[in-house]
Amino acid sequence: MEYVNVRFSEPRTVYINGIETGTTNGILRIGSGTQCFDLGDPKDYQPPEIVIPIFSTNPLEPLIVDFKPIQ
Amino acid sequence: MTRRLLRFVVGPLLLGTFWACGSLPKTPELNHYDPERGYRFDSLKLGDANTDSLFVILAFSGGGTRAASLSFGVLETLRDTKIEWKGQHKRLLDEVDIISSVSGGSFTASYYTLHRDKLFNGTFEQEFLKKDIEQALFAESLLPSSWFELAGFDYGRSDLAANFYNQNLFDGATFQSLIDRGTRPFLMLNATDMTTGSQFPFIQDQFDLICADLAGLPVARAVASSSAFPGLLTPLTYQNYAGQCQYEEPRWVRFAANDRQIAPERAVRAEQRRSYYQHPEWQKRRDYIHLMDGGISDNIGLRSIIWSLESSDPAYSIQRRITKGIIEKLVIIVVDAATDTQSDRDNSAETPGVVDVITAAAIIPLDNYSFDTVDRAKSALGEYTEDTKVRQRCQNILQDHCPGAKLPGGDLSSVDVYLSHVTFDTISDPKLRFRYKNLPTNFALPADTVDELRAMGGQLLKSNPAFIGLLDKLQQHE
Repeated sequence: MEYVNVRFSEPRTVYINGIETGTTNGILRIGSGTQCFDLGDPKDYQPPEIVIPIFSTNPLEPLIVDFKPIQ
Repeated sequence: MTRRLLRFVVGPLLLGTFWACGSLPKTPELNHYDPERGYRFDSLKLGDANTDSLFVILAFSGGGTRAASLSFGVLETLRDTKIEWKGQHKRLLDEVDIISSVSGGSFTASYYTLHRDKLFNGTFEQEFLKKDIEQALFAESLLPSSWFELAGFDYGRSDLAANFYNQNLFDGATFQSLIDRGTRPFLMLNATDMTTGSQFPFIQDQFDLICADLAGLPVARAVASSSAFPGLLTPLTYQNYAGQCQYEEPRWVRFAANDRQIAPERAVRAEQRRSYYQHPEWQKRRDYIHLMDGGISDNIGLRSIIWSLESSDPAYSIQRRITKGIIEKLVIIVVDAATDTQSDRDNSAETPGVVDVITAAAIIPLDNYSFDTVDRAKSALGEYTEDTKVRQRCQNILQDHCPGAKLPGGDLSSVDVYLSHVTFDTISDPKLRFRYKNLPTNFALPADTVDELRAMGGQLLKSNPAFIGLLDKLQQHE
């Protein structure tokens, strides 16, 4: 099991590989491997999606995935 | 398997040499891929007494009538177990969300999912559990119409068995019948893909890969595939229409293909899926898929469930539901009818014969693999409790030093997990344990043995520590 914290300036739904999986700014459980993250609509964030390999995380050191609002 | 079943095998083989008329039953085609339609977990509603917060999964093993009877006994016990959850009084049986099964367990799983409480009205007992199915199949094979069918190169003994189950047990029910029922439990009958060696669940997410429409398939044919024990029953053949339904592979498959180093199992899973619909020039085409007993790839029907615990990739991912905080209590009951049959071979210096060796080579790895599979499920479930404990301990230490401070990321969604392994191994009386572990694997058990197995299924479940713990917690909830 791997752990990810998807961070954004406000609470949003997190999509992993196009499927609604959780919410921002909390820890999500996920399987090992390459995953694609986005925050769905509206597309007021950047980058539009983040594709990143996930492995060797733990509940105290989740992988941080950062989205920034488009100014 | 008994001599009668061997006659069912050998008789038609000899007779079939002289005629050639049988033809492959057509696999229903899927004209257009639609991830919102078909027999999928998400397309089923909860049902009046079911909740997502108490999520119950049953896994039924193979083992012929022995397995079917043991799982029947467990269902009877769940029916008789009254609970209160979220202020509603109900039976634990009403909370079952998924039933995953292989081989003999698939008969009980299918009949219950189709007919619900009618499973207990005596018909299934008389028409399957206490019926000499082997004798009935043998009689069926003697019908002249069967000779013609069995003589065809693309029609096997399992096709005949599928027809028999369809007419005599499942009354022509198809997966559309399960869609029409509309409510959980979600049935996952598992067979084994003879070429890839991987599990082949009878769910639309899998049938999408071959552009086939599961809704039109008789449940009996899926059950026959799941229980097509190699050598005695033939694999069942399905047409592969891949490329004809505009199938769009899930995004995870594309990413997983590059995960050979960091997630090799995921990469292999993606490759196995693509073997149905991608045909690079160096690979052989797969115009037909041959399926055999689900026990070959997983004799307790648990591996599809483990995948859903460890990954958010499967459409029916349980991990995703836990992460979203939907599931509060996760209950998995594995009904494992594995035996450890004694043999006379060690009384003699004689070299074991070919049949003995092949049988041992087929069965021993299955049992060893089953043991590892249950351990892996325990480990996957353990992670869900351990990770929340670790964060809570660290949070407590942080609080001691910096009152009011919180760990980044907040709390992990917590879930209480309960895994009950119903197995003859836990019978404490060694003589009784020996007796159950030496019951034959066939479809013709005496009626009193069936009754004993039903009672034992309930007894083993009720004495299981995880099950006792669950009932304690549910009572505390009252």
